[in-house]
Amino acid sequence: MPAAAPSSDFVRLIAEASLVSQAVLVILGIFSIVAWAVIGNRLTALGRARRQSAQFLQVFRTSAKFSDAHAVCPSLSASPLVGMFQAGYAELNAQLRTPAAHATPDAAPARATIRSLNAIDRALLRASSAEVAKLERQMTFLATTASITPFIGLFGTVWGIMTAFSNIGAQKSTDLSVVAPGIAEALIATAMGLFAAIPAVYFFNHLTTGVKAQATEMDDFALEFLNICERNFS
Amino acid sequence: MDVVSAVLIGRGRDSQRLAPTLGWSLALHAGLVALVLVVPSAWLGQRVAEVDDVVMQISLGGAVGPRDGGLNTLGGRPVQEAVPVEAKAPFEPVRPPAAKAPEMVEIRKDAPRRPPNTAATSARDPKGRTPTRGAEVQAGNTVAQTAGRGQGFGLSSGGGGTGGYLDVANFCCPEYLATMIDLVTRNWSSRQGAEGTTLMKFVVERDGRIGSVEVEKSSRVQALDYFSQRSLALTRQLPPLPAGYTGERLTVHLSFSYIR
Repeated sequence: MPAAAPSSDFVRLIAEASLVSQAVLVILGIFSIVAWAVIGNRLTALGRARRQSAQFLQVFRTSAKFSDAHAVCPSLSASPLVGMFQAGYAELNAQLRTPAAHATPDAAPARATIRSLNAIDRALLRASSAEVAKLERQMTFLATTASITPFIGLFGTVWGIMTAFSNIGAQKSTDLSVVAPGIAEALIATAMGLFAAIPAVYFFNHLTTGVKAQATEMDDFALEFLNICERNFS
Repeated sequence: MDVVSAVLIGRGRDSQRLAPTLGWSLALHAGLVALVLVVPSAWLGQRVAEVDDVVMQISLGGAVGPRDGGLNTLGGRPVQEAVPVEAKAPFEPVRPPAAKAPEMVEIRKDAPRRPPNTAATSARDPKGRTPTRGAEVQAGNTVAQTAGRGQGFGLSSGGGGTGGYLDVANFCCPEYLATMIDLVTRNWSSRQGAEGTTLMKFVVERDGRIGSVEVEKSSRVQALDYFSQRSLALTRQLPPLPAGYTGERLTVHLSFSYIR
């Protein structure tokens, strides 16, 4: 059995490629590096949001007062539910701090009531949209990478095959040693494009599913928050 | 500012930065490139060429293919094998007995030798031309050789009734006489400034020599007789008498006619 040689052929193919092919490979490499950075960033953010949301829900549901839940918000800031709660709590406090129009200064203090449940609902809706957008941040780059990197690789392949055929014409030979390196060099660009696109597609779908799950959880939390407000402050 | 907006703006500031994961991604790709550099090419699917691999095959007898199997010109159809024909004994014709090889004899130094041929092989050419051999191109005004000769003018072998004649009747070979007249004509010219006819008599030996030349009938102009004698003396040698003529010598009577 022959000794396994280092993959010098693979490296030599890239080193001897044309400038256009090398530029294509560099672009695809940049796309891949940034895509994997986004993937890591979003996976970390989504995982942290999922964990902290679970913790916040536990605190929220076991607390007797909103102020107890509000106290843990700084430590669980990665959770989108915290953002919604903070928005809803801010709107609620704003409504509770404002005196009622029909109240008189001589009258005894009455039970605090909210003036508009819809306003709290809108505040929760705004926060929900902001939190979803925050979770989906940078994911458009993954979609872009998944869409265009195969085409960039295809461009490199087409260019490489053009060069290969040009070499065939120049050397007036259809020998495999003349044709094969150009085609191999061209196919590396396609391989690189797929190398960048496949993880981007997979993790884009994976992260989108995770964001949808968080959005559903936020909708559920908004309804729960409104119910509590309606029960206690209307 | 709305309290909710203030909360949302504050939430937007503390978003996770991309820089840390970008560093991790860079490290991951660098490690991948290093792995490609270090990993043997065989692991990446690139086959390492062995030393004793057949790189190229050159065939002078057509495309390289299996010696048997489906890749033949008949497309794998069964072919009836021809039954070999039994070899028969070749036909041997009846032949006469071979001639007996001559016995080897000892070379005798005192054996009688053939006398050397001293005769000249061709007539002397006064114009220095190489004697022609075989068929000759005759000078004349016809486009083709018809073997016909003029009558009643110049030398004649008797065709016109005024030429020469032979002592023998029914001479076998008229072509010999034509050759003789042709050779004599090369040394003779009919224009000598006087008119007259000289009848000459001479003898052709078996080997072609001309001898016993004499004026049989004078033209009464001595110069013309002399020219006739001279032409025969210059000719001197004719081809050997033909085999069809059995005599030892041939006596010829030849008439030389001159014009002014």
